[in-house]
Amino acid sequence: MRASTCISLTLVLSAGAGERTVSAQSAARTDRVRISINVGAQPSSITFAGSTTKAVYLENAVVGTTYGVRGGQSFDGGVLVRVVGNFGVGVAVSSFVKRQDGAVAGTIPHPFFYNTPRAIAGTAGGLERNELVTHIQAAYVISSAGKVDFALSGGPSFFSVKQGLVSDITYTEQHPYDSATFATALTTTVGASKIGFNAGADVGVRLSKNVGVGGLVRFSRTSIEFPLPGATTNVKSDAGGVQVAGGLRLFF
Amino acid sequence: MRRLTWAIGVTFVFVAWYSFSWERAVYGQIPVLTVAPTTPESVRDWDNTVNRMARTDELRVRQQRADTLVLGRSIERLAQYYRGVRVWGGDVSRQLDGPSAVSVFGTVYQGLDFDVTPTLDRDVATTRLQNVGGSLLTPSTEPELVILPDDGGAFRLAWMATVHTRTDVVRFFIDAHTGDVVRRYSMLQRQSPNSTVIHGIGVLGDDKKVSVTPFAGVFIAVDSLRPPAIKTYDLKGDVDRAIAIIFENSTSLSPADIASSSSTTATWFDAPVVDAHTYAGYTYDYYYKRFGRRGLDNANRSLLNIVHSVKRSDIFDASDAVFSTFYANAFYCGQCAGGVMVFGEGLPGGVYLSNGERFDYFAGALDVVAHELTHGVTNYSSQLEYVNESGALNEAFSDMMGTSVEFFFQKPGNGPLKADYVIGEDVDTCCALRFGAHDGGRSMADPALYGQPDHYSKLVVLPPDNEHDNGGVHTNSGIPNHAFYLAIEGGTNRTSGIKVQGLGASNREQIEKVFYRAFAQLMPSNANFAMARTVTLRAAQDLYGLNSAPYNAVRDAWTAVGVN
Repeated sequence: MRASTCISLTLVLSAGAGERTVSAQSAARTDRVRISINVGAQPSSITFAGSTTKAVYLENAVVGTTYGVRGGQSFDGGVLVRVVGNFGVGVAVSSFVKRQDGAVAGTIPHPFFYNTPRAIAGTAGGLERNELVTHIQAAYVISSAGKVDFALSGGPSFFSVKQGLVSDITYTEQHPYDSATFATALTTTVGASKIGFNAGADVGVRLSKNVGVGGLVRFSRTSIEFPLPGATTNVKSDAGGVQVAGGLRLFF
Repeated sequence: MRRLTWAIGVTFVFVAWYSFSWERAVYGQIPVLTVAPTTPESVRDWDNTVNRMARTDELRVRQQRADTLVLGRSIERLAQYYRGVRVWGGDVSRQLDGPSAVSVFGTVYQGLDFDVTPTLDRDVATTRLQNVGGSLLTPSTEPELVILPDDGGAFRLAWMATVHTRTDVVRFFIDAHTGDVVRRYSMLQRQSPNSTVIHGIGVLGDDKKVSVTPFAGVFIAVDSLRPPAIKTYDLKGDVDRAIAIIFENSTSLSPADIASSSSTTATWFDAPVVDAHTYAGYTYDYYYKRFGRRGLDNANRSLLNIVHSVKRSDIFDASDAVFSTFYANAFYCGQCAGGVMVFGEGLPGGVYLSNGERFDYFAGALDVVAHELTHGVTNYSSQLEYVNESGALNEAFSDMMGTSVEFFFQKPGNGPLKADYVIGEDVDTCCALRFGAHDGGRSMADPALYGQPDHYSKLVVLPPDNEHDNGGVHTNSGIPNHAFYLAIEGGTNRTSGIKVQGLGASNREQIEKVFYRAFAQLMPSNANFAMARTVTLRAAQDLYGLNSAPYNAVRDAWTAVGVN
């Protein structure tokens, strides 16, 4: 498993703080459960590539696509349960959906001559990336100043990712066939699952007994492989990343 | 013993082919006006003359084409007529820029003043032509009354017809009053999306892509990827059927004759089918990419190849005529089966001519295939008369384009599948006793190496009949061939000692365009070498300007070979 770069911003639940927290710091920490609902962004980008080959005019046509998953909006919801003292466990689910274009480039063999490939290039539009990640968290909650508390969390993440990939292209050609022109990309959506990790920090500000607001920063990461029909190797991509989010906090 | 007999006979044929050196008869002075104006004023004068002659029906437009090399121009070809009868060889080509004439070339016969009523009517002439030709004339080959410039310096009223014999296509002219044969010569221009691509193994063992059509579980040799249909027919060694189709016109090529692969595997092993089929496609591509020309007639006429007209195993039972036509030759015949390229079968393994020469399947040489197809281009453009100097120009143009196609698709060098200035070296291998053991049949770089003249002072003069190579068309082609070579590569003519600064191989495209434009667009049908010089210079001027490097190279090359 590779844990590198993705940044996922989630809205974690951070435990609410506020005045009760101030007292709870030293004495009664009565809220054991915090629910968070956040909207945020996953600002970082991922770039990866894949290629397919197929027999055309007795040779292999090679079509490669460079996929760029730029940052975008994300949604997150979770629950954290304090178990012992400042320690707790939680689970959060984050979702990131983004549609983007892929840059297609390849070579098409010549119908009359060996080793005379014709370059071809185009754009595959509307390739959707859908990341649904379940984060299991172990948390340590620090309350301060009565209204504010702060939580550090980390743990494994279960990634379920769907990605639109270019599986083939169509092109036009005409005599004397010295060039070929990209026409359309045929796409397919494939899914893959993988375990990764997450680590993050959450801060919450209590506005009333049970309600507050908060924000979080989380980094999650895994490396995932998509099986692509027609490809001899899977398409490898990172998933996850930094998430920055903010939203509602409910304390019970 | 039989093999020895063959070898002797074949040797005679080829020695005769290459070594004629007879004197040409003196034909007298014909009142002929050669049209080759070089100044704007004289072009304008001739343009007016052509217009006037067209109005009075002395010239009739026989072809009009857009110029594919110079945008906005067109080429018009006109034939001369006298009192409604075609004057054979009277022919003018006019290059037009909109309504204005840019150049006019041609030959116009003057002093015509006689009755054009034949003594022999058409039916009698037909019978006579059938008797002398040994073959029935069909409606498409019925005689045409023409005025034939006479060898003695006068004009003769003649019936002309093209007669298909068993092994030849002969153009006959008989006197329209007496019925005597006054001229005859061979018309064979010889060379001694439901589609898929499969592997093919060529004559030289090379693997190439072949564009074919799947049909009934096998592949058939129909190329649908190119604009014209390219079809290769396999006559399976049935020589009688080949003769009936090609020469007697008594039966036709049928779909069942189209070559088909022996299996469903994606490799075709019938080498002459593979090479004839693919090389015809390459030649089409060359003409299109280089000149914008769309095939033989510039209108994507089908390209029809015929292979396996005979069986190699039958060679010792073949007549001399069958041998020289179907084994040791390739030819284009525009009058046969709608226009076909026929590629000879070559010699069986282990069989050599007595001089050590050996022929493989003629379809195995790219320059040979391109040479034959170029005869088709000539047939649909200048119609260079296949006799004497115009015939030698016809042959030379085929050699020029054949070689150019080689350089377009193959790497320069020596040996199989390499581009060079030797014609047919991939299938005509030699031999201790002929031409100093050189492969191939002609050299554009050094014509003398193969017994051809390299200078006009060495022109071989022969009677213009088919017993004498139509006046030595395959011999005297060495002179324009060498001019073409010198214009590209440069060098010194061995006879004149004149050195030419060629454009260089990297600029060969310019010279190719000059000669193509001259030969396929501007040249009149009965041009001689001097006319060819004038027309190629006009073409160079059109394309690159007066005194440009290509113009100078072409001018100096003609001068070096003694054509002024």
